[in-house]
Amino acid sequence: MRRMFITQIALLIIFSSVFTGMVFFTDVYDEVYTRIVSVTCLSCIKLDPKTSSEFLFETATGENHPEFVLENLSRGPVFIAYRKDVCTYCDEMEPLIMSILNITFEKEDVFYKIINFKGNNITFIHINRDHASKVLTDSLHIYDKDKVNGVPMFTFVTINYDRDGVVKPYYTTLYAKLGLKNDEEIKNYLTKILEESISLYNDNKAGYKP
Amino acid sequence: MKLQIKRLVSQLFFLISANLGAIGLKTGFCYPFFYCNACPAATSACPIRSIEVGVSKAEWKWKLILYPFAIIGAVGIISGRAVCGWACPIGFLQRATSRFPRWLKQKIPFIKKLGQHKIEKKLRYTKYLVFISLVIVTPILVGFMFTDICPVGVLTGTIPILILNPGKYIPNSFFYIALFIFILFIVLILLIERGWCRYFCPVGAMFAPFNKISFLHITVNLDKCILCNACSDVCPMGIDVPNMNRDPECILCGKCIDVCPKQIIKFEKV
Repeated sequence: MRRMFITQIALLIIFSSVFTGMVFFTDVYDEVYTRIVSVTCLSCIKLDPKTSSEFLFETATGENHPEFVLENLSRGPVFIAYRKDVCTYCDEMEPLIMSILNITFEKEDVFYKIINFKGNNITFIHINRDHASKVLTDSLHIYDKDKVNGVPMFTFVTINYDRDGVVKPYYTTLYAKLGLKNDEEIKNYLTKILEESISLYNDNKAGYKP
Repeated sequence: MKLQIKRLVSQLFFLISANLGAIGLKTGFCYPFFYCNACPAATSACPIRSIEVGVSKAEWKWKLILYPFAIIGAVGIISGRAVCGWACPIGFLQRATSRFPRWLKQKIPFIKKLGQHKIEKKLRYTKYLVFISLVIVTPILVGFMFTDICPVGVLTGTIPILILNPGKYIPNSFFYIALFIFILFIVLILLIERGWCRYFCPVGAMFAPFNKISFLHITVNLDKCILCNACSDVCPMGIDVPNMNRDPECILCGKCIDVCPKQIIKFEKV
């Protein structure tokens, strides 16, 4: 009886110390929040969002486009790929992006790269939410036009004239596997959106004042 | 207040607590029970998902592995598997459906016989197998995770998302497999009382060993037992209550305490 009680007390101290220690002295609380709770992995909910490639001026939150996007937009369209470390669809989509853009990267990488795509400059930004800074991770909500709050998410930012005749950032966002099943279809669709972004950019860049 | 009413209040409290995300309360804790973080109203993370993310493709994120174990360990050492009986929303669901399997057991003798067959006890080890194989081994080796096909995820994540966003989503490649497993889950809990907790729940598998050493447990004074078997008849987990002695299957629901005519079954706190 006494030995049992000592074991119980010892185990209670061990488990509760590990728990409180982890919460107060490590970033596990934030890690669980950002990796698991705050953004849904679209393959986990067993659903794909039905989405359109319609371009918009107004961001999803009504905020301004992030500074890091505006800076790169002066060079050409910006293509952002959002992901998390553990995400089946992200793992399936990224080789297709690498093949379209003819680049290689690791899933943990957070980087931007200026790429020559069919003779035009585009900026590719890879944001892994589990490793990126707050500014970068928060931009997911700014571009989450269908309020899906999930990854993988792909945003294309270009420029266009608005109703007032002012050239402004113009974006669209696609999710998961874009509602397509076949790799070739996905690649063709992504290429089409990139080409559309470039065409809009080239048509309107004369009037763009960053 | 009667014990079962207290339990109902507790289950309602935890069901509401698990869904405070609906009013914007999202935390970085793991639930100490089974509930899906993909639920639009979820407050915290599923402990199973945290472990899977931690072990996925042998990348060994130790914090994410240790964290849910520490939470479940701390709760388990205090109250054993009482969480399954008093807090888990899926346990609550099975409490709500429990009349049907009880009625079936009375009407169809075959089901009663099946429940008493010696293989039934062995089947209870399935949940440990599910935990080790689908929560630990397949995420390490191939990246396939239990949560990709989890019926609780379908119930508390996929279905609410579909209801709240009509026409916004289409099924993905895991959907039909998960839906099939979800249908089996519903059939199971309608055929066997607490069928999910008994045979498949990986969180129950994590809690079960703590029954052997938890502070809170149920004892039977065998010297005064009249062997009426009323306790075993009422037990939702199908335990032979007089002989259970800290049975890993006991969810400490207290139904045996309520029904004992001699009042010799009680909660012990050490």
